[in-house]
Amino acid sequence: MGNTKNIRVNQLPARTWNKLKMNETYLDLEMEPVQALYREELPEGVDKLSGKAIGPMTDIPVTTGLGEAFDSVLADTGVKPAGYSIEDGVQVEKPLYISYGAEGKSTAKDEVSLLDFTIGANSSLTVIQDITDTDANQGHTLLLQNKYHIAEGGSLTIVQVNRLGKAARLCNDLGGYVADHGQFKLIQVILGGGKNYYGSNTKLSGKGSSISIDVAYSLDGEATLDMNYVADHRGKNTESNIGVSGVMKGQSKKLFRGTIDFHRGCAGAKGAEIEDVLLIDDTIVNQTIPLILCDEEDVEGAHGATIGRLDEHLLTYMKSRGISEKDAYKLMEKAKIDAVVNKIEDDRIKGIIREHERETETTR
Amino acid sequence: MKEKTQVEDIDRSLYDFRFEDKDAYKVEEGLTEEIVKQISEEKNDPEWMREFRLKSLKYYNESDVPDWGPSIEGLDIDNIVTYVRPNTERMHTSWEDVPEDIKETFDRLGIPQAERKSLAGVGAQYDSELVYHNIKDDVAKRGVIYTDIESALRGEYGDMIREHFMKAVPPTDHKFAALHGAVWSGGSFVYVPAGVHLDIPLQSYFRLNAKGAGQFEHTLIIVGEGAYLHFIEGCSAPKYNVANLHAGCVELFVGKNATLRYSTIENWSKNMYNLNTKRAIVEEGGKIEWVSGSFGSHVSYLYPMSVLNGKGARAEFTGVTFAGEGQDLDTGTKVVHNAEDTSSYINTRSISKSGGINTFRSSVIIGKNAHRSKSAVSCESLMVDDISRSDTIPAMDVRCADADVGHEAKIGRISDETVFYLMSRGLSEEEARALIVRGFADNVSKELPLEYAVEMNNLISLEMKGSIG
Repeated sequence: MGNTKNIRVNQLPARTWNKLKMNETYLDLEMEPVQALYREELPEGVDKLSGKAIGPMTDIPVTTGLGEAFDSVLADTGVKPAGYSIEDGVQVEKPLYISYGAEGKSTAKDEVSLLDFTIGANSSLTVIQDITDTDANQGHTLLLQNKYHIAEGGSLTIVQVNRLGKAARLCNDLGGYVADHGQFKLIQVILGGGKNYYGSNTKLSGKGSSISIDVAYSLDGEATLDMNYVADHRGKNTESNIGVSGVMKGQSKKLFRGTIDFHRGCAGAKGAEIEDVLLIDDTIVNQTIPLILCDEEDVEGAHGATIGRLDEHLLTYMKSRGISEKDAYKLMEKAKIDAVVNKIEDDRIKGIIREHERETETTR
Repeated sequence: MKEKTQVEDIDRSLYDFRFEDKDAYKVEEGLTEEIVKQISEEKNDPEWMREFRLKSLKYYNESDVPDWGPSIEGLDIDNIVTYVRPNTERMHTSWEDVPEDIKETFDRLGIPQAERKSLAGVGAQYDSELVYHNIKDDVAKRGVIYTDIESALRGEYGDMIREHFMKAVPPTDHKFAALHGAVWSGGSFVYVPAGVHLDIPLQSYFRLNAKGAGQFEHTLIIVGEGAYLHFIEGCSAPKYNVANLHAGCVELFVGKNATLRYSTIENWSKNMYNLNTKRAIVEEGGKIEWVSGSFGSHVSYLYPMSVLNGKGARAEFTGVTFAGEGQDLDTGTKVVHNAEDTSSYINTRSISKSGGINTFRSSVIIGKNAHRSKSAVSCESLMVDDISRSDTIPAMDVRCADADVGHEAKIGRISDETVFYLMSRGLSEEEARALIVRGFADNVSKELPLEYAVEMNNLISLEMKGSIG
């Protein structure tokens, strides 16, 4: 690669011992990426304006999970964002479908997709992003960034399914803010990609606003997953729930950073994060750092992590029912993914996930 | 008008007294090669130790200040006196021989009384030197060595000291370990032979009296195979309006199937930068139990570390931290699981009030060879008012599939429901809140011997006064 830049991404909001190598991640990015091609199914009620973000709310600065350096690199690429907006009081029934890698064209260049969602007051929208590639063996980088602005009582759900090949690298960045009683839901199913960098930073600015994040991943071979999720509580009675669940095999590596940040003034706020990791092979590297930062008295914050093999009692029970240990692990692996997939309300993408799982199973 | 419920700061009057250090010998302020050589000469170091100090100084000058913890901008090493010898020529084995003002200091802290009542031996350090060290005859007869580390270094245990000194915490570990390596002075050496079970504890007490000074004591404990020891460390200082520095080092070597319980009540004054390093190396079947109460200091960086090197080795860490006005206490623990079937259990509580800042920081590392190892971490934080802060930063790194790692953390305030329940049982709201706060810290105090639990409760002195606002 010619013109590249080494940038810092997924920076932990509060640093810890440098020896742990969890404070941030550095990656090289090509400085001349092209606009990513994607197929889009625009439902009725959604306005699209290519080339710029829509709506007055977009003037409010947004911080993203991957961070400032990544944001700056994307701004320098010259790729324009596509803005989607819905008016106040509109409930969009059908999801906005966006499929990467479905256009049948292939490029070795790094690709960028910048999307900007503006959700009007008391409106709702579901966005489904199916992320795959035309040639699973072609090594390239996909740089995705979604920004969102959710007005009073608005609701945005983003479902992202990663089915990239092992040679691909994905930088998946999200950031936005939520006004009074607004809701943001993020569901991410990570089944592919060789090197994955995921970040999300949501500012819960309005009173009673909320965020829920559900992530499921299956890592195999030499796949890596580097995550940074931040729930930034600023409004009163805000609520966040971050749940991350996955399976690690082969020489895979994973680093989960999750932060619940209670700012002064967010009285009555509640935040919870839970991580559950099933480890299969001794060659994995599993790192976890769940933070709670608390500058407000009247809050409730909790996090929990369970990392390891299958519970012995559960394994014994399954064996007593005639299920081998190998099959028990397979069942539990599927159960972890399904628990998140079942939260998706769209049958079409669920079907695509099931099909992908079947294909993966037969090629093992 | 109603007055708001208040939880009082720790009552420091017991500790906040001082005597003039007019007869003490001091080196110049700051840290230079000349000062390090001067300390080495003053201590009559063997040549290897002199070289060790100078190498450590080099590491210190080459390493950076941490970029991740509380600010230590108010600490300027150029203003710190790194060595202060009190006005006594040597260490004593009878309190009657200790100079009157120093003896009075330890009397007021209750050390001689505790020695008579419940300890197998006591060491007392005043500024940079041990002034008193004694061990009960029957304990000494069982082969237990408890002495100041300098005597041990120059005596028959010299080789043992050299073999272990700063091997668990090398001066290259971090900037303040390097500082310690350069200017260390005082501290205790304990050796418990294989199979010896000490039923009553040993205690070292560190008192920093001099204004603008640093204390750099080194504690080295070796517990032989199958032996048992409970060691208690206490520390305090009067308050000055300039920064004082504590950068001690504790190295613990726990032998095969041995157990060491290491209890600490840290109660430095609020001008103190407490940058202390503690580490235990635990062999097969051995166990280290840390009990840690952190109440004092302006800024603390304190993370006792357990390195579980032998199969079946265990670590337990129980800690409580109370941060009040003007305090930024960054405390926690580190565990490294390096062998099969090792286990660790971490249980901490922190209380923040009057603008105090608490950070719980931990790391649990399960290495590739640590098959079937288990770790459980539980940390809870209580915010007593709306001007304080509490953060939790726990890290886990697991590289072995059949490990079992659990972690849970909670941050919150005093639950209204619990207060309501207690009030329904006849308590006033004030009493109910006081009971909850005391109970919150009780997890640690119950791990301490009775005398120290009482001291800790006195230290916390969680008084609730006024009506409810």
